[in-house]
Parts: sequence; C-alpha cells; structure tokens
Amino acid sequence: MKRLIVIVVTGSLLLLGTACSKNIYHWGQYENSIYRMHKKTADYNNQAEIEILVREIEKTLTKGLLVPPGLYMHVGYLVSLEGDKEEALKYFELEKVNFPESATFVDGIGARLK
Amino acid sequence: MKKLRGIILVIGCLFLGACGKKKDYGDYLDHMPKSILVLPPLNNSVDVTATDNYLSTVTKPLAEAGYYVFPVTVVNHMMKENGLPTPFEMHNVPLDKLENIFGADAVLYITIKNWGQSYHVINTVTTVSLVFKLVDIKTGTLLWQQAETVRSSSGDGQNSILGQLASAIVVKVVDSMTERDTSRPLAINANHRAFNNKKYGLIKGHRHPKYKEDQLRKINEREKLETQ
Repeated sequence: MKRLIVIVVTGSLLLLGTACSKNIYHWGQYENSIYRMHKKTADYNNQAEIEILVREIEKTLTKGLLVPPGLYMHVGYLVSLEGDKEEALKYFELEKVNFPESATFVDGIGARLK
Repeated sequence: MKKLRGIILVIGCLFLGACGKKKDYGDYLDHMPKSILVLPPLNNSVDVTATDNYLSTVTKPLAEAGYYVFPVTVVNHMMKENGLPTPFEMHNVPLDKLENIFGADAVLYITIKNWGQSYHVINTVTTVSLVFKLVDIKTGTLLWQQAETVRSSSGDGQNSILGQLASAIVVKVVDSMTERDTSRPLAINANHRAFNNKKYGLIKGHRHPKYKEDQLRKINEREKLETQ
C-alpha cells in the first residue's frame, strides 16, 4: 500500500514536471547564437551561424513546432550582413506574417534596405 | 512601555512587509501590452561585457510569458548604426520616437547593478543584480518594476539541499553552453524569478495559453485591494 502511494506521488510529480516545462516555442540555438554574436570571438562565423539557424527553423517546422518571436528577423539580419538583401527581406516578411506585432519595425527596416 | 513600543514596531514591520509584497497591477491591466521592446541594458557593473552577455538571456523568458519580443540583436545593431553607441543614449530616446520606429506597446528598461565575481578567502562569489522597469510606450506609465539579485558561491558545500539543487540546475545550464560564463546562468535565474513569480511577476501575455486566466486572477486581486 505504502509503495503504491509512493508510485502515485512520484508519478503525479513527474506529470506535473512535464506539464510545467512545456514551452510555447522551440528555442534551439536562437539565444546561443545571440550570445556567440555578441561575444565577438575570433572564430565567430556569420555564414555558419546562418546555416545553423536556417536548418533549425526547417526542423522546427517539420516537427510542427513554433518558431520563436524574433528568430526570422535575426536570421534576416545575419543574411543582410552577407550582402543578400533580397533573401534578407524574405526573412523579415516571414517575421511579419508570423508575428503581426513586428509590422512597423519590419516595414521600416525593409524600406531602408531597398 | 518598552514592551508596547516593541509590539508597535513589530506590527509596523508586518504592515510594511505586507504592503511591499502586494503589487498593484492596475496600470499594467489598463495598458496590457502585446509586444515588448527590450533595450540593451544600462551597465553599472564593472564588467564591460555585461550588456552584450545579458542580451542573450532575456528573449526566451519574455516570449514564453506570452509577449512578442523584438529581436534584441537587430535592435541593438540598428540603434548603434543610427548614432546611439551605448545603452545610455538608447535609454534616453523619447518614447514617441521608439514607437514610430518599432511599433512596440511597451519598453523594458533594464539596469545591471552587479555582474560578475568577487574573490574572497574561502570562496568566489558570483553576483548578478538586475532592475527591471516596464513602461507603456504611448503614455509613459510605469506598468511594472522589479529588482532581483542572484548569488552563487564556489564554496557552497555547507548550504541546504535546496541550494545545492539550485546550483546543480545552474551548473547544468552552464554546461549546455558552448562557452562557460558564470554570470549568464545567474542572469537567466534572475530573469525567471522576476518575470514568473506568481505574486509580483509579469501578467501572462496574449500568446500564453493561460492569458485569460491570469488576467482574470489579477483583476480579482485588484478588486480585492480596492475594497480593502
């Protein structure tokens, strides 16, 4: 009987744990990428960073998860640093479509890029 | 007489304590934001890397609380390119100008009071102290503010089990990073404490599944406060 109680209690604690840790978005490398970029270490590679994040976005979408706010725009910005304005604008647009709250910012930055 | 004075003092302290804990969410509820612009934090610590390192900790907890968070790196770089080299200048930009550029509902101003390690005889103490102020962009009304300090010590062996557990979690966060940075996990912890505390944290934003529930709870608390 005692054992049963222990099992039930641990079971419900586990359930509670998983229920609490559920995130709205799939974060992956987004904040780590911000960290690496600001660290400005000698081995920071912008092109590699873009590849990591683009691959991650694809994976997030195939899993049916949500891309976090700001990530599309972050990638668009990294792409714009490589000189590819058209590709950058595509990512800015994706930010706007997924998060209409970003519309003013995206339109402004887009107009300046063109 | 002495005893009476003591009692009054104790009651006074209790009263003050109670007042300090109850947060008034009235202005926050009246100007409930959907999007938050996080400006790079003002750095009052001695570590010059604090601002940049902090920026990689703040998006996730705010977004998971249900808000749209503007991309911190893009915001930071864009402001620098437009003649605002440091957080000091950025924090002094008038709200109407910020609204024109970003279209945000609220601005989160953060000040880093402490960031880093101090060395003592028996141990090394890492301290991160942060002050948060959330301001409505249209009216300048202060919606929410909070200060948090988190410490970790290298000689924490004699601490409670709970403390050890907490530092174990912190260590785990550090290990998952590509590089070790002792202050960053403490900042993550401080953010979590400030934003997610049930008593004094943020109200859940519109993209959070419990948005309506949390808002209703805060409205009820507010009515209770008003009838008192």
